[in-house]
Amino acid sequence: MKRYDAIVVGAGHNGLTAAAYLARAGLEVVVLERREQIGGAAISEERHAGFLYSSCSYVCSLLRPEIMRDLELSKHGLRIIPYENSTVIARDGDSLGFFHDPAKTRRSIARHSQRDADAYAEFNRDIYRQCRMIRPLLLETPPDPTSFSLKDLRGLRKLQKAFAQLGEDGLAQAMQFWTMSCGDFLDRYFESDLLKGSLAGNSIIGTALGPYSPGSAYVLLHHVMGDLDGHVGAWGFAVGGMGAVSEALAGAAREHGAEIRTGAEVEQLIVRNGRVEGVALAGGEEIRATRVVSNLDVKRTYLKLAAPSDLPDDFLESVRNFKIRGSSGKLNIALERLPEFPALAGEPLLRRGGILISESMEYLERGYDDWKNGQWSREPFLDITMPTHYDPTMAPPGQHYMSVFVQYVPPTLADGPWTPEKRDAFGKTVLDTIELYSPGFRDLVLDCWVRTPWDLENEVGLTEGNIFHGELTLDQLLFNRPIPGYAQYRGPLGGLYMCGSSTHPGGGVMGAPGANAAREILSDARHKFGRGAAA
Amino acid sequence: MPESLDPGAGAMLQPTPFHERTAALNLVNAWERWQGHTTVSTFLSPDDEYFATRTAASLYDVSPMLKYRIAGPGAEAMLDRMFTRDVTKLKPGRVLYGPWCDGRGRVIEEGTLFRESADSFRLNAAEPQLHWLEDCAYGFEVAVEEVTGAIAGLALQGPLSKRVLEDVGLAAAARLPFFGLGRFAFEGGEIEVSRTGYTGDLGFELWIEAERALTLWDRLMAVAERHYLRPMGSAALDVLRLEAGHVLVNVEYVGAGHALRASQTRTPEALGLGWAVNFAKPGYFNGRSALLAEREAGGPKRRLVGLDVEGRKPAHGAWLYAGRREVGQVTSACWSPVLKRNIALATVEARYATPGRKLNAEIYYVKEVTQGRVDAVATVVEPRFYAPAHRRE
Amino acid sequence: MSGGTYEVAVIGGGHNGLVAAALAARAGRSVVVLEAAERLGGMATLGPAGEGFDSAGAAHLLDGLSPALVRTLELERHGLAFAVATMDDVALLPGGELLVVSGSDPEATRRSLGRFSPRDAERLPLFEARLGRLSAALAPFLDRTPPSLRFQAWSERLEYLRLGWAMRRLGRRDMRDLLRIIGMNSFDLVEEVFETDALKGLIGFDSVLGNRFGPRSPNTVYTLLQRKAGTLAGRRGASLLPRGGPRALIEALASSARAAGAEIRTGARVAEILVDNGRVNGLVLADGSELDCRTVLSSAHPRTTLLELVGAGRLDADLVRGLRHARGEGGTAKVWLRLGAVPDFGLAASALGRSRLVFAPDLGFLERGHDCAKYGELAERPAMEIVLPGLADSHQLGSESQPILSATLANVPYRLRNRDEAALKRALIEHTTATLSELAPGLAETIEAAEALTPREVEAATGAPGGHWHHLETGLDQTYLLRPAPGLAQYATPIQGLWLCGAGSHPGGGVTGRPGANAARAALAAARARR
Repeated sequence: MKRYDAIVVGAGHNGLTAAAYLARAGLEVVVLERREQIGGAAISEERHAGFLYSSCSYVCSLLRPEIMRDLELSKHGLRIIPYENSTVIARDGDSLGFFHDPAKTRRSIARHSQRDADAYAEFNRDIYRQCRMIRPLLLETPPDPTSFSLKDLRGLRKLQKAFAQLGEDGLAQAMQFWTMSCGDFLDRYFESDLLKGSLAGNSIIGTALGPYSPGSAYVLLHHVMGDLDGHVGAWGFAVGGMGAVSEALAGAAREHGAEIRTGAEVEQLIVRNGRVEGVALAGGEEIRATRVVSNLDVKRTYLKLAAPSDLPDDFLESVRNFKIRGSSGKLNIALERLPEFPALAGEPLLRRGGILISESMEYLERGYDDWKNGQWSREPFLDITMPTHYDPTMAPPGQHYMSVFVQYVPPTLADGPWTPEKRDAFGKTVLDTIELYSPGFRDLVLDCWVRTPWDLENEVGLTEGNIFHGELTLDQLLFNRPIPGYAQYRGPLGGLYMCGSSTHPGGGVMGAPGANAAREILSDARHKFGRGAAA
Repeated sequence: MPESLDPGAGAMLQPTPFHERTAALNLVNAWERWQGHTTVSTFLSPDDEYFATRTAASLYDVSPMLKYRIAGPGAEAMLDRMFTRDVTKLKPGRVLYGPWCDGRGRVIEEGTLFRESADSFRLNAAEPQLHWLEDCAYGFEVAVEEVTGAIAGLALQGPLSKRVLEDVGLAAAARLPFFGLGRFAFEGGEIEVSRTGYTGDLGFELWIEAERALTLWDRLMAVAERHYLRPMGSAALDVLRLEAGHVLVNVEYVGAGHALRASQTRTPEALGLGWAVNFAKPGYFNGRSALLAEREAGGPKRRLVGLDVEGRKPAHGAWLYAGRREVGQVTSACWSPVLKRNIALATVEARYATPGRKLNAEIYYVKEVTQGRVDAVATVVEPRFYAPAHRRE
Repeated sequence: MSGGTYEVAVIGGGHNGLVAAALAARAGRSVVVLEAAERLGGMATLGPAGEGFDSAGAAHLLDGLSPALVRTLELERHGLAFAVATMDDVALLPGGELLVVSGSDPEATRRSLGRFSPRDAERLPLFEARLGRLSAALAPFLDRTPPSLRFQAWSERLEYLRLGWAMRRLGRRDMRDLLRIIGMNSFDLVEEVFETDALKGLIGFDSVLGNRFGPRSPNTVYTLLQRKAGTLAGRRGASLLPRGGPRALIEALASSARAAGAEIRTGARVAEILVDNGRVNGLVLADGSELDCRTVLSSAHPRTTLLELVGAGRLDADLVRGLRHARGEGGTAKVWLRLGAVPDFGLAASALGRSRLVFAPDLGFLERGHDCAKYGELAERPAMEIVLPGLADSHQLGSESQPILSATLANVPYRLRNRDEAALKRALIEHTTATLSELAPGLAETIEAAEALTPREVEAATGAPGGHWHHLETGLDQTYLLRPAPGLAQYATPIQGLWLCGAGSHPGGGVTGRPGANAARAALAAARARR
């Protein structure tokens, strides 16, 4: 029977990244994907004739340039176009735009508050200071602070240095930044509701925190620490939708000899003497390998694939306690033509980037209150993009694909689980909200595909529909992610690794967890006997 | 073309109040952005504009300069706490130039402060300061307002600028003392004139309501031929300010409010502005403790110096060596047409900053399509390269 | 006019000021305490103005008083005693059910909790022990000056090593636990362990009381740990009922200070701290008299001390900014009721006197209360802690025939949206009465008098801007070396000779005496070093 060097469970972007790196290093790798199409949440689907939807993730910024270079993703067809602007529009017809050009942004903010326009430069500086510190850590394995091994001590020293280079002011700021709420943080700089609403939007995307929940300031960072073509914080569209990212990664993996099987659902791990020896598929087929790399989140990996009897109790308890909370939904809409946004009449260019609906921090906080009460936000935060401005091939000529990201949407509702009727009602809430900002919008809709956390969980395999494979709070970051003591991509089972977004540095189409996991696997493979668990 | 199909639709950058006239005279269509405004980089020839300033007079549009009005019974005390110089000694009708620092003594910016009356001041700065001004205003009875858009500014610089003023009915303004300030009747209204400038030459800056900007321009240009008065762009100004040894924010240093890296900020002493720090003044000022500590520790580790560089290749960005040791870098450099010398401003380690010290400059330049390199001896000199006596007369 | 010459002047006669004064006097300094009000005690003894409420004070329980201080200052010799040494926590539930978490009798807790969930009854002692271990690692640092972020002085590097060592000494398992949960919210932590709503509500309540937090606010585990680290006996529910109320503690502190030679003046409002060339050069009182002193310890709010008494203009603007940004809008209020009879909470009068009643029936309830406060509303049913001090303590007014009920309400808005202060005061009393009537049938009819104390009244009475009980919130971003603001966490200020010794400094609020003691030690050490 054939024995692979590595099985990767799940062909999401991190699984594919890990597979490509492993194959590149000469390992014999097979990727097993439950669905018929690879990509996980980075996927492009044609659900309505002529329209290509980026059905889950929709924009790209975090994908590490090191990975694009290592895996030659450009050769495999990846092209990411940075988009110029983003804007927030208000119900009263006002708007505020963020442009590539700082002077233009300044003028736009100054219409709302002269003071804020000035403070924005300072805010940016402070954010980028934090970015500068965090970015080099993304492609590092988090050190274990309780360990005395040379590797961990070195890692801790590096961590300490990253912080220390901030200087006294920067360090104090960093400590506050990592612990305070985004709301309090923004209140330090700004007075304009619309400005604060739009910036706070970044701190709540994908998380079950309100803008006034301490710790939410860090999430803000998570959304601005990416870069495109050297521009920190820039966001872009992948030509051909986000599936193109996965296709390019798969192309790289295949080129190096990895096998990718779709329609292959892994049902359980084969474990002997505390070591993983392979996997059993839903159809009964067994595949053997020296090691298994799970792209699934930590809960699915250990609570579904592994047998409880193979794992220590306290570990299982920690896995159960890992917080994965669904809080987002998504609408994919096919439009007959470009919708009008009266708020953008003076700056139509702004339609080409991200359009936020986020009136104020209270608007967001109330949306969060609804979520806490088991309802979708009655007045939701929306992040609207129309990638067809840049990639017209995603829709028939003249028509447009609109992606609408919605925050907050609970994984189950107060009155019970999701039903098709409730999904429709949720979709209607969102469409009605857009209609408020774009009269006549509803008449342009040719197709509308509504995705609730339930759908994201059941179709894509995101637990609770959480887009990050787990909350990005202090207790689940760095050496705490996913489980303290198991943050180095290994768990208690020998030969089993994690490479999904549950691991450092977390979610977003970043590829870093996959690349980091591959590095750790290869380092183990070089030590003949392996280290087994890192614990 | 329908708006929705126009990929470039949207509001353009802001024109200055003089735009209508400067645009008509910008014969080579050379523009530059300055704080979100469209400004002229060259009207026709930078050399012509430069020599007009050094031998006759020139006009330079300074409207994009950020302007703040600080008024109220606490204005003097607030600004005295903000500036390192003694603002309480600044009399109405006078102008003060100096830096202001953060709590660590790092320069946020330097600029001119006009005392328009006992309780009202105007601050001119190159970068936005409102946020910082409001922080500084806390605890003082004072109102801070940005007035950038309301006031148009025109720098009239050069040895003949007094004559130009006399010729346009501003003889009284022409008699303003160095760093003096006053309001004068002009064309049915008023104009504010300060005897200040950025060229190191005799000169004035004229300030008028934005709506009357063109009246001012036209009145001045009507006498232009008689005085070799030329409109000037920023290209010529850059040479003029370097000859005068004026530091430029984001070139010689990064303002403490915007710097990502603390290492790019400077204390006043390090910028050669130590003379502007008044430890003896009675009031506390931002950064006093930190600057005192710096002084007690022996001063800044690096200092801004002037360099007299041999040869003719401007030493843009050149590394400076003492022997084989790298000791600093050039921040601005040019060939000085009036001095016929190759000059530069540089930041070097303090112990190499003494005048007369010879360093070696490693200068890179583009030779058609290839990079050339030349090593030149650079002598440390006082940064005020050109300071004609007539500028104070 | 001369107000005398002293080596040390202490601004504010609250408990932290008195502690600082007593320690300085014991070190042989000539000390004066200057209290603006006519009475000592600051926030702790703020009480209702109405008749018959004489001994009631805001801090009805002392759960963090430093035992070392009690010994050093010989407070027991000066009259401090406790009517009840360990109170029972009793969770009140709608429908009259009670959950008793006894401070002294684990078996009683087990029985009571066992009725709700045998599993939770098993887990509670383990949970207590776990938090106990973790907070014990933090506890020594409550009595130490936090290091700065400059990493220069050896003493500070040593302090970081000490901190690291305290973590490591916990062992790998506990250290990981601490590093994980310290930034978490109490909602998640408690949900991980327990299933009984009443117990979860009780623990959640302790994690939010005093601050503007809901149980879902991250940092609430930290406040729980800090509260625990500060408790006298290191046991859960170690809430002490001082005999004679909080005023008795203040009297003991004042007596201890006076015995050591300190002079205490009331009605002596400090108007200005004189500064000469960056050093303290005396004080000016509101009556115009000038006091000669070179060392000043201020227990006033850091903003009051630095921005008003010193003046923003004498400080760097960035420091002023940091202070202005420190969050400290009060979120806690008091309601006192004088009753005609012992209320029927389902407990005997003797048990009631030994109980700290908590109404926070579940976590969702607490979170909703917090949501209300966020938007400037007061919850219909506010979460609260209730004590009837007179039942167990004959030294306090209020007896079985006329008991005084002292309630502390969590998640109170600093101001009601679009409504005035009087409306908030009315709402506090009405909502409290309505809530209590449901829990103790017939209570409403026995109310003889009712009084409330709002955050803004605390602000007016003590001068602490925001009227926050801890002066400043105790979230992670305003704690330890970031408290009250970066650069001010070592009790020292940029003005030489001026020290912060109030609740705005590490380790924060509550009647602990620790900020006062730490600041006094730092100031005395600095003075010694100068000599």
